[in-house]
Amino acid sequence: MFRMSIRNLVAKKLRLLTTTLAIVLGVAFTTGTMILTDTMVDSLDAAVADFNDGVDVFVRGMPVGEDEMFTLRGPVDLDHLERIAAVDGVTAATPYWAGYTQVVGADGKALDLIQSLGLNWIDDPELSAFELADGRAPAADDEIALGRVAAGDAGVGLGDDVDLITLAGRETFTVSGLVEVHDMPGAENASLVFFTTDGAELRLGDAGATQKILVRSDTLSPDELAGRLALSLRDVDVVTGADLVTEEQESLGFAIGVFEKILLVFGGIALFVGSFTIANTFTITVAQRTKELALVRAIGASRRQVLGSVVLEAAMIGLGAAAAGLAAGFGVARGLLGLFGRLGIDFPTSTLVVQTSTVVAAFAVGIGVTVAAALVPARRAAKVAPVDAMRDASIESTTTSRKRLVIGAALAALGAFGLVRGVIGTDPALVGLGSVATFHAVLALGPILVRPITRAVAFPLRHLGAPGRLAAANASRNPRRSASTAAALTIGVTLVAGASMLAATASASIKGDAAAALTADAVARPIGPNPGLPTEVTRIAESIDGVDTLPVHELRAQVDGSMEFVGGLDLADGDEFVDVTVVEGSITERSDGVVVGDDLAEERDWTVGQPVDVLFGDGVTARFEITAIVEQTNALPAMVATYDAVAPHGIGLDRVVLLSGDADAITRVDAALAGQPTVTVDDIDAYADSLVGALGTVLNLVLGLLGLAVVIAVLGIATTIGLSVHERTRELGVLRAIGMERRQVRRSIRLEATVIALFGTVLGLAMGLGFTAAVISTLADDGFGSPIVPVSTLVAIVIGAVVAGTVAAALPARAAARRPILDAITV
Amino acid sequence: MNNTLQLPPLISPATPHATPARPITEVAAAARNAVKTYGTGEAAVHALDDVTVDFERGRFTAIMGPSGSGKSTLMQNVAGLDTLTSGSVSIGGVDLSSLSDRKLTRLRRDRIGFIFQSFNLVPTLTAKENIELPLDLAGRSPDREWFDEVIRTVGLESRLGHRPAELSGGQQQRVAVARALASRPEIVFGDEPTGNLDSSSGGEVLTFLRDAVDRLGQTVVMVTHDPVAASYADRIVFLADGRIVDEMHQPTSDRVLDRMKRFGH
Ligand SMILES: Nc1ncnc2c1ncn2[C@@H]1O[C@H](COP(=O)(O)OP(=O)(O)OP(=O)(O)O)[C@@H](O)[C@H]1O
Ligand SMILES: [Mg+2]
Repeated sequence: MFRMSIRNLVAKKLRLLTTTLAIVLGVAFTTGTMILTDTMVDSLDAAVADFNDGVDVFVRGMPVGEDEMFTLRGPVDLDHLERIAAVDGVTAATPYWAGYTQVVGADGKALDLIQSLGLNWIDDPELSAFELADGRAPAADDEIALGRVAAGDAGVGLGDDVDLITLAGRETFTVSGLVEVHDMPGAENASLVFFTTDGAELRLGDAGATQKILVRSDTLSPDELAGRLALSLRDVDVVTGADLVTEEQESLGFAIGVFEKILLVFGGIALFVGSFTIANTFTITVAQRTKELALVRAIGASRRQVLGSVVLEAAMIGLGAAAAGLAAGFGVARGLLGLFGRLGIDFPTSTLVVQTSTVVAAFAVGIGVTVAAALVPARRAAKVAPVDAMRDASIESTTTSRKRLVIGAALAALGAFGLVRGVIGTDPALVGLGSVATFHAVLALGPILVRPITRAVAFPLRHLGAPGRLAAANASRNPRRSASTAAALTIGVTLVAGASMLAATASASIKGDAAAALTADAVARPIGPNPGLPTEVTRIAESIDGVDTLPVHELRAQVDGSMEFVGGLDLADGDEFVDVTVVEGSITERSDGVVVGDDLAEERDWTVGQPVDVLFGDGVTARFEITAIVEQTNALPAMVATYDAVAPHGIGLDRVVLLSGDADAITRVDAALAGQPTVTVDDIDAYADSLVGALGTVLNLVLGLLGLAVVIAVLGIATTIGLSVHERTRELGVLRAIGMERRQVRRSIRLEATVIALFGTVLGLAMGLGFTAAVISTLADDGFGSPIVPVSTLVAIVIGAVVAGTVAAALPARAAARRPILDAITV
Repeated sequence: MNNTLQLPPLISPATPHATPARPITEVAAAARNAVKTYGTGEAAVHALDDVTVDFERGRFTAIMGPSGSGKSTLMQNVAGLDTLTSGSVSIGGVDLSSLSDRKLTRLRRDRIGFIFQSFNLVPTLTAKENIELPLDLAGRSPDREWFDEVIRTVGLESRLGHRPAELSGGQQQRVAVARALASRPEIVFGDEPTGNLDSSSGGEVLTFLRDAVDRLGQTVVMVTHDPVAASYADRIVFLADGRIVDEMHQPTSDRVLDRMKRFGH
């Protein structure tokens, strides 16, 4: 039996290749992801350790809010420095700031680097992670040391002047020193600026406070030092360097873990899709071997042995595919690291990290998926009776079994119930369940959908003569096979269509809300990666005749125990800028008043007149009273207080500045802001577009990742078409003999694949759009408008399906057309 | 072979001799010094060893000979399904060796009809669609009158909408005969077209081929092992070891059997 499995494998090398490829790709992506993320973790762990090396103890602010990935901490009073210095055993201590600083390049624009950081220069070489390569440390308030990358990009050297944009606005500094950066991930693409301690205090944080104090001791162990400091300091958190490193490594690990999980979901989808190809191939090859299997049974092999031989064959394919996939996984990881590098995120590492768990996962997944997919065909193979050797029996059922029908119908009923009840009751969870049930119903009932749908999509083929007609007939010749071939593509297309619709709807909702809620004439907003606008932008714009401004601040704060976005803008003066619809209460100028969106109010059970406590990032808690509940839109934060009540607690940069004035006045604002390279002035439409720009990027990323599943599905079509064509060798020989030209043969096979691809695509589109529209209809409260059909994407998908079918069939079509006629007829 | 003889044909040959032999004027297909060698050196098999033969237009020719004598090889090469090692074949005066695959395919489509022993039909198409297939591939619409005549000749009027799986073996072969005739070809080739049929169905198919020659003026070349089948032909060409060894005109099954006995079939 073992030898039979082996011989079967060897006999079908080419088929083996395409079948295996589906699993190889899935395993490669999965293991590639694991290798990549392990390598990233390794690299970042080392970097975090190096970066903090030399610091024995960190003194930092108390936590003021946290979510899964990140703990928000308050500032550390600079007064603590003296107290720390007075502690016995402290050798050196220094404050540490890191904050927003943008370097203005020679062309007047902000440097286009991934990271832009301002820091304070730390003299103590042990405590500092940086080294001066040239010149000296900044000594005066208008001096800075500059990282080499930033200096190179800005085209400045020692002694040159350079403009910086910080919270304090635009200022000119002299470069006193150049700094070489080691051990920092992304250093190649970071703009680093080092101020004097006083300069940093002024520009990177609040007066009188710092972010952390770094302490070291030549005599005490870190733990002893931390113990002593903890005793003498209040309202701060004292942590050893080792603990901080572990903590930072853990939170980075968590973030990378999330990233890994997202990628693995796509790997899982790819493998799921690949399993259809495997199942298909086995179903077909087992059917083609019916006689052989029956013969084996007739000469005494037991059912279990037959089952075993098919499972063994699958296991060996899985083994080979897993090994190849693991090898390819290295390539995937390298490629992605290279891609990150190109995007400016370098991971300083040369070796890929392969954990035992990655290797185990590769083989478990590769063999597991292949064997699981082959199980049903294997059981069917085991059912072959010895007498089938004498009959011209085929064990591949081409139609739908009763069991399948019953299960499919039950699922369909369940799905319809869930969808309808969910939509009526605006219950997204129920809609989700209904969608899943319907999806499975469609997969189960696929075979009975093949005939009507292929007839519809193949309608134009009738005009393509005999090859077209033959293609249409062949596509629905074996409905079960066509259905399961197409199912793989259906899964991919469902997800692609759903994601596209979700993005299109979200994007239209956000844009629509912005256009509806913003009555301002223009918006000054930060460009690209800049987190906000220096407050001087408002001053400059305000100084222009005929222009009114409304600065908008935004931050995250802990409100009655959980994190919310809080906006700071003066709604009471906002008539020309924003249009809010008050549901209850009224908008006042009260500095302790807060306006709340109706959805948030409902969620939190808030009413007008109720007090809420807001714990800001600077550690300050303020009590506000809800003065109004307004219709919530995507254009404004769900909570809004006055600018003065919020901005002092933020990072010092405004989110945007709304502008009101005639076109001339706006043009003058634009001109006046020419010296602010981080700012651009947009009209409302352009601003709305900028809000959804990131959404497009995310969508493209998701579509790119789903692309893998689609490629595997297309490979599946290629495999099935190849097998089907192989089965029809004699028929094709006869067709060639009676006058079918080679190109007609090729065209017919390509069209057949296209019809199958279109079948899968039509089902996928219908489900993707239908489910997403149903889900969206339940999300009106979360800011979603009515579902938008992403027409251009749909057109692209359909064209893609036609191309995919054509490409998938190219090889089998060529092989079939090339086969000598006599050879084909006499098989 | 002999068992076929024990059953007398239910439908007797359509009195082949009643029709006066046509004047031997035109040649529908011909082979000149045809040589087909498989393999090389010691292992070389001369499937055809210098065969020269004409197939006259409007006549029914049978090719007979022991197994392995090269009957199929001769037919396949004359029909343009394979290429000779040396020598030449022509259809209606066109030398096939000069044609590209595309031209050859079109020639087969437009000027040659085929009937194989089995698996002639495309299972996904109805009988009618199968019959029209060569025309369809050419993008031509059938000549109604001719088409109806062919259908009538093979007696398939009531079966046109059926798929091959719904037809008996004999009916399937009749559809194949109709398909071979549908494009009004220069010549129809059959390689043991009745080999898989019982004698009654076989007789029907042979009758239709005979009718096609007599009533429709077609040219038929058929490979067969069956003396009864061969007796439907106007002429029999005997092959042995890749050479033509004998010919017989206006055969009867007894004469054929006799000859086969003498030469030790
Ligand atoms: N593709 C091939 N490769 C090698 N030898 C072949 C091939 N096809 C035919 N032959 C050989 O050529 C010779 C003639 O074969 P052919 O099929 O023409 O015989 P036939 O007269 O049709 O026999 P049968 O009555 O058994 O059908 C035989 O010896 C056969 O073995
Ligand atoms: Mg033969």
